[in-house]
Formats: sequence, structure tokens, C-alpha cells
Amino acid sequence: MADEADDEAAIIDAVRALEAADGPLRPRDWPALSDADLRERVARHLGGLGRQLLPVLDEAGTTVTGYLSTWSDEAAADLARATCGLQEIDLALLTLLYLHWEILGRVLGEDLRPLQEQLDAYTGTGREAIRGDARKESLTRLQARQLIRADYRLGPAFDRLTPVQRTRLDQSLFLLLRPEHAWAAEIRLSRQAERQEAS
Amino acid sequence: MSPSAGAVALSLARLRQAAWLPASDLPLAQAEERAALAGRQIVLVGGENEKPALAVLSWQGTDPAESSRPPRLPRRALSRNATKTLVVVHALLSDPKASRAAVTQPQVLAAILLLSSRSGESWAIPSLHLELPHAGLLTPCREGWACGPAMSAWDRPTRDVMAHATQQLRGHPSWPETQHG
Repeated sequence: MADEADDEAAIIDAVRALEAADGPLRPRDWPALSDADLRERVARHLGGLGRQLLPVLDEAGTTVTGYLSTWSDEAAADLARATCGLQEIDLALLTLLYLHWEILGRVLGEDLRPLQEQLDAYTGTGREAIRGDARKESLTRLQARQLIRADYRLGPAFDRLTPVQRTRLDQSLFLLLRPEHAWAAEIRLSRQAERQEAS
Repeated sequence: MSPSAGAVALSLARLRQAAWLPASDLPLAQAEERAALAGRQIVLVGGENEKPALAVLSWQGTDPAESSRPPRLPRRALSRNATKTLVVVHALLSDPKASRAAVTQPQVLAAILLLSSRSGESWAIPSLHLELPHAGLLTPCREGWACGPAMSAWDRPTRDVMAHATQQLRGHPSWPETQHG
């Protein structure tokens, strides 16, 4: 009985820590994360709040080095339909930052220009909206939500994307960049079906 | 009929995202039960004078203890600028000499200018208009900003920390004595 109470206390400790930590918790520091059965119960408790346990892997992608908590895929899809307090300019700017760091920098391995210079050089739709004070204020809002860091690189919120959420982000990017492609049409159809199912 | 486990989980996710929700939007009994299993609790605030009660997701007992090594526990929920703005607003709202129910933007900016000899426009205005209302800590009202549901749901240690910070601010020689009302 005492063991069960100890286990439950360890589980609640781990859930509270996961929900409050700004980075991954190492299993060796949290008994409820190092034991597979207890970890399963941690995941169930998080699931009751619309959250899930997210393993963080090493660079090779083989060994779990820690755990984060994040929105469950179901909750993430539901919350994406609600207003999030961000403005249109914030989302547009975040998209440009994502293209800059993730696509140009990480995926294509290009030599990146300084970010502000890259934004100044942007000539697409809405270019006037991302200049001067409006840009500065928008960057502050994105930073406050941990979407970007103080140096404007992608923030810790991106580390909390599950594989399903990352796929959704990749699909959204594809819709933006290749809207006429056949795969884009498939994505739109599948999202339309999801929306109909949800309503 | 009881709501499904998935529906209860979604309602708690929406509560966490929105910082507060009308209590009537939640399956309260089931949501409280689920929250308790994860060391959380739902605090109800307001509900007087025919105003609807609001639900805020809080921690059971006290907030998770601070950690001296990475990862940071608890992580910073507000930006540094929003935290500074919040302390100034709280000091103005809780100033016993003024007895205010709300603060205006000019009052907040004037206090910052007096305390720091610098304009706080660039950082305090976005905090007042966006970050603090989004976190449920302030509520926009006709006169400016009033205490938000999340501020009303602060636990005792948080209240003590904020009271200490605001006392220090009000003890500052430049604290705006003339900013009553």
C-alpha cells in the first residue's frame, strides 16, 4: 500500500515537473520516468489533461535522453482551430523565420544572411507589414510564446512538436510553397475531411 | 450523460490554452477529477453580482519548486517585459493610498517613467495589450485594465512574492504619490 502511495506521489511529481520545465527531464532524475510501468501511468495522467509525453532522442535518434510534455495530437488539432492570441503578421513572420532557419539553413544548408537583412530583402505579399516597429513588436510576441529565441532562432516550442504535429507543419509549408501540386490537393482534401469529422 | 474522457481532456486543454474559461463551459466535476490526478486543480473566481464564475487551471498545493539546475523549474511563463509590467500594474492596483479597481495606460507608463527615468512604451504597451490579458492576468475594462482571473487565482506563496515585490516598488522614492484614482 505504501509502495502504491509512493508510486502515485512519484507520478504526480513527474507530471508537475514535466508541465513546468523549460526543457527535457532526464529519466535518471525522475523515478517515474525511468520505470516503464510508471512512465505509462505518467502518460495516462497527462492524457487526461489533453497532454502527452514526448520522448527526446539523442542525435542518432536511437536513445531516449529525456522527456517533455506537449499537447496531445487531438488537443493540438482542436486548439489550432481556436484563436491563439497571435496576429496575422506574427504568423506571417513566423513562417518567414521558419523558412529562413529550417528550410534555407538546416535542410538546404545555404549560407544564411543575417535575419534582419533577409527580412528587409523580402519583396513578397505583406512586405510593408513586417517593417519597423510592427516587426519589432511581432518578434516580441513570438518570443513571449517561446516560438522564437532572443536571437530570433526557432524557439523551444518547436522542440515540443510530436511526429504527427511536425508532419502537419511540413504539410502546411508544402501548401504554402506548392499550392498547385497534386500532393497539395490531397492535403487539402484530407484536412477538409478532418474538419467535417470534427464539426 | 457523462462527457467522454476525450471531451474532458479537450476541455482542460482549452482551459490551459485560454488561461481561463467560464465555468459553465467545463464538465466541472470530471475536469476537477482529471486535473487532480495530474497535481492540478481548477480554481473558480468571480461568480458574484450575477457575473458568471470563471475557471482557472492552477497547481495543487504550491507551484512546482524552483530548480537550481537545468531544466528550469518552473519555466518562465511570461516574458521579462511582461513580468516587469505586471509588477508595476499590481503595485498600482494594490496601492492602499489609491484604492483603484483598474489602471490606465498613462498611469502605468507614468509610473515606469518615474521609477526608471526611461520610457516603457516599447515594452509595457505590448504587455498590457497582449501578453498579460492573454495569460489571464489582466482583464481589459472601460477604465483600462483590472485584475484578471488568473491573478485572482494566485496561491498564497505567489501572492506573498508579489506583495513583497510591490511593497518594494511602492517604497521607492520615485513611486508616484500623486497618481491616485
